[in-house]
Amino acid sequence: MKENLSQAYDKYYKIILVLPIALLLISLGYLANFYFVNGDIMKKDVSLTGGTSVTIYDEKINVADLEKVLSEKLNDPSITKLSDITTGKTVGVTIETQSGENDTVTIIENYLGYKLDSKNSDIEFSGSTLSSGFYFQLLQSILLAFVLMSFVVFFLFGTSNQTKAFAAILSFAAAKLTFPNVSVISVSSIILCFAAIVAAFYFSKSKKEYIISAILTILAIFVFFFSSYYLMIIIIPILIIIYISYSIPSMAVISCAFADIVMTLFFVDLIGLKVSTAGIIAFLMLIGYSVDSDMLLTTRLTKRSTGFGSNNSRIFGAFKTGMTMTLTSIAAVVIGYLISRSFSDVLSQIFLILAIGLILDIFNTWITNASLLKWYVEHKEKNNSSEVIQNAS
Amino acid sequence: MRLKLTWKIWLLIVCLILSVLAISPRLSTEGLVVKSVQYNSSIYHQGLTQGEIVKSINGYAINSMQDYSSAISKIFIDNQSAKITITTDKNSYVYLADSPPEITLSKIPRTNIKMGLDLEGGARALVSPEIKLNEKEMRDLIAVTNQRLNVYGISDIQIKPVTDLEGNIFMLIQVAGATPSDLEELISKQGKFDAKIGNDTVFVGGNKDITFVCRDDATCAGIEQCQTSSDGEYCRFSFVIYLSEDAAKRQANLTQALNVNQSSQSGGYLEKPLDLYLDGSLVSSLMISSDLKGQVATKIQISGSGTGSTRESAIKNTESEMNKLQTVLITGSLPYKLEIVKLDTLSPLLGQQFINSILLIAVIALLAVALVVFGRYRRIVSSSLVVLTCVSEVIIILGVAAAINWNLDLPSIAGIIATIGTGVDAQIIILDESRSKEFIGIKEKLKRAFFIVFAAYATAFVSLLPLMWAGAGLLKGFAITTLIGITVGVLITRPAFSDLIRLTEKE
Repeated sequence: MKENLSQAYDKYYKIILVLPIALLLISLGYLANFYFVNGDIMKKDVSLTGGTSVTIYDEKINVADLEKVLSEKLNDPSITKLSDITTGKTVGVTIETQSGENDTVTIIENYLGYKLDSKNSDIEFSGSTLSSGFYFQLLQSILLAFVLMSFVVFFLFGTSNQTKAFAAILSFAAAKLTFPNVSVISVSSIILCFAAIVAAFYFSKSKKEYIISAILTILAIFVFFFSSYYLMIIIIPILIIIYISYSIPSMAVISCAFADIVMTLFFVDLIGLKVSTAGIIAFLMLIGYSVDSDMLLTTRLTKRSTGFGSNNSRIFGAFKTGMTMTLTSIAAVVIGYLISRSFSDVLSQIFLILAIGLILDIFNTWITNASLLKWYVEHKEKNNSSEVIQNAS
Repeated sequence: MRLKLTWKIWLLIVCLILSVLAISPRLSTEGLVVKSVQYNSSIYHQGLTQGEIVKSINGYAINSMQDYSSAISKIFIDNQSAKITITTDKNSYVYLADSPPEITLSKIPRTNIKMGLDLEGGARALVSPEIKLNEKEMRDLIAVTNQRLNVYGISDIQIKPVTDLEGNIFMLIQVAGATPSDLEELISKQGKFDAKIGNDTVFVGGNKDITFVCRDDATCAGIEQCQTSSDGEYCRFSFVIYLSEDAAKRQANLTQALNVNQSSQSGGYLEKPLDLYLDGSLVSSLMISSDLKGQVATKIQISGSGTGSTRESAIKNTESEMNKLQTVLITGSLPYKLEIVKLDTLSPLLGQQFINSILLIAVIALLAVALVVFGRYRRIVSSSLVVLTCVSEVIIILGVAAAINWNLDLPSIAGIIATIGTGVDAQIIILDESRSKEFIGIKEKLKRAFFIVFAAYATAFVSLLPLMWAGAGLLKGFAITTLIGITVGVLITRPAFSDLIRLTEKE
């Protein structure tokens, strides 16, 4: 049985890569379409668009009636019920709208017939300029997190010191671009970037390598003097080229994390979730979770001496460990979601996005990453053995 | 069975003990803690400060809010002024009053863990000045706002500057507990400052009337003299302000009509004082020197005094009085409008229920994790070690949070959850590597496990850094607790866990 499974895996592992690629393409297509229709890649709640969120602690509110009245007077209101988890009783409602604070509070007070104060309600208001700035900065954070995460992966699994130095120059330059105003990070980015430049020249052996080092140095200097965020458009493609050309395993890990995020966002959009600041944190957490099992797999498959076990048995061993890891996480977040749904939008959204992301991570780690790595390792083994034969003849 | 504990396990135990000490749960609490003291009230002038613990009032022991209200009602039973003796952990304050002390009290928290506004209730405003301020201007703005909120009796406030990734600078104002409904007005109001003689306005705040306020300059502002009086030490300060021509003329006209106060021994003052009002409430009354009568003077010496039980405290109080007055005068001249870009008022009602629900999630989630781990390994010892390690990670995170005075808000709690998630992952890697069938020593196996654990740590660490600053730091809590958590995990709990595994696997 195990033998058959292993043989079948050997036969089909490249073909099943079609599944994640298809899903990734569908997701990207859907998100592109979503962007053209809605002007953004996700629906945002008031914490990211600006607006008012009012939670009223009143058990007697008639939600349907309230909804009817408010939808006539407020800008696109949405109403959710809050309940007590132990008794299941409704304890209040949350109203979200893009209308301003004073209007919203007055309209609600008129409906309820009493004043809202800090004892019977929570009122949260965010100005739209602040919120859009907030949103942009969170997206920047995710992008930088991705760049730094990729660099760490490449640093650990990459092969040559020369290319690691190249990636370091660009990654620290990206950090400098993202934090032009945070002096601690700016200064340390510049120092690290400078160290990377020295390393790049130190490890250069051929003329070509010297030229690349020089070009990257000029780019880095450019970044320091003209901190325009648009320079990321140059930095990121070069990083991707370096990762693809010099470390397939690292690229596989990075692609998985990317696929996790894109596919999760696809499902989030599909179920119509309005993403809050907390939701964006969840995407950031997802990068960390997703990389864990990928790194486990990559270490087991590429960093170990070839003496013990076949590739399939190593993948299977890693699968057992990785699945235990992911299942424990899923168990925890699903329970978190079920309980927090009744009392906290913030927490329940984090748990929901993590649950979706972790399930997709199973798919991406054990189909996408495992297949890519197996392909890479077997290709390398074949090359090595043909070299041996050549040497022998 | 005797387990020989390694130094890593001892390190974990020591860290746990230190964390518990930092959290320092109190089984019984005596007294009530002072949350705020109303500015300029009698008890304020006695020197009672926020954070002191009230043990008794007029001999009645105070251990609950009921104790306090019954004591107050007994003291003021006949609506007459009474002698009040408030005994706190630091001092004893005795004074005459005809109304209850203007303080708010609350129960002493059972632990040193501080909850954020979104759990404890309160208000939070993110204020953006119309124009971009530099650091010094921001400091002034914060001093002014602090002063202004103090004038209105809101004392339990925290105001700090925050910057975001784009370099915008904001003022973050946090008020704990129940909040006044007009907070928005208080903050965004530009501040109306009037100086009056009787009912006539002499000058108002703003650079139209006051052209300059001397501050931080010893040649035109400072403490003049101190002396010992019957009830303690007493110091005077004075500083110079400049009025505009128009304001000076108005003052001349008004003072012309006033008589010199004959009853005063030196005869040096006019009959009516110059009263300073901020947004309608009296902040200070200044005597007007008789030689100013009818004079057009743009340079005015403003003076006042402060008292204290010792010379040192008198100087300190006088300096702070002077600073307040200068701030008041500048307040009126605040040259920019403020915009509230975010304002949240959160009810404290659900706080406790909320915390209970989160604890419920934690307990059930941990049980689920333990079940999955047990399902995989079929060993009670391993599963319980995983749970034990998670619990100790949480305890150490809370300990560090208490030690650095970090307010645990909702994002911080999400961060703790994230830490548990990655912590369990790391432990499973350690468990599996240690049980691998390869023919190498367990030490070598654990070394391999730690390569993966460190790699995961490094990636998590770098991906969290941006959150420390993004969005005016409102999500900093998430980054902080997670960074503490994963660092504690990789340096303390996981090494100890791997040693515990080694000990149990040996048998």
